[in-house]
Amino acid sequence: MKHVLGLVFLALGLCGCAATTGNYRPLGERYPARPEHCEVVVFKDGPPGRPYAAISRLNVHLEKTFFVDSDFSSARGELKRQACLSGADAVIDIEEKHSSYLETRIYNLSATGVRFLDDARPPQ
Amino acid sequence: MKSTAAKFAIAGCMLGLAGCSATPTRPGDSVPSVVFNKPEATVQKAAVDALQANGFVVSKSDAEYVEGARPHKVGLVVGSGGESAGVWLASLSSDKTAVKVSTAKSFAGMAGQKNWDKEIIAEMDKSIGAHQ
Repeated sequence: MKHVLGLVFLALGLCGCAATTGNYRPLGERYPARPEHCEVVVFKDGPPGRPYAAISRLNVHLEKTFFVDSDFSSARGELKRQACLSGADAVIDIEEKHSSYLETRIYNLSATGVRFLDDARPPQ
Repeated sequence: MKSTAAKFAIAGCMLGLAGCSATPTRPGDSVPSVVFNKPEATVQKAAVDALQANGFVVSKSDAEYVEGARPHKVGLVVGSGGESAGVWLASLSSDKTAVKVSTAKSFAGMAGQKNWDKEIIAEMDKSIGAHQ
């Protein structure tokens, strides 16, 4: 009986109690990915003051059970990773959505990845 | 020996239940479609975005069909996830596309699952404008 319970808990453990998914979709031309942990500037309060072009739509989705909430700080790492993969230098137009279902707390973040049009690129 | 085989069978079943999700079935002709005043390619991209915004991991992304599944999560009482959803598209004209959405719940963790059809359509409305 103990072994059976152990197997049940093993299977449940494999599911985890949190899920983070990140995606990006090119908006037009596909740009080469930058290194996974490249420097990305996040503009939360307005667009950058230098010329840029929107190149990707980014999405990060977090769900946690046990009534545990998520926020921007939990999604920031995955947002930057997706921006790098899409070839973006910076992130603008951040939109956050909180919702819940039963004991699951859901946080979704969508944003636009942009590429600077002048020569001063952030360091890789 | 028998007991070892039984344990492996139980482990196999549990792992299977943890990993698999049901396949969504296309709603019948009696179910009305939702129509967007946009070309099929635009609506298809909006369908992919809508699934991802609702926590689905997209597994199929064809011109006329998009499918995804939500990862299972263990919880205090019922957990969540395990649903899969399909979005069927049909071009009515160069700027009109009919859409049908269906959520399927898996056997494992059904108590913590919900129908995501409305949320998926709402997300598509937000992205490409309200449907007719």
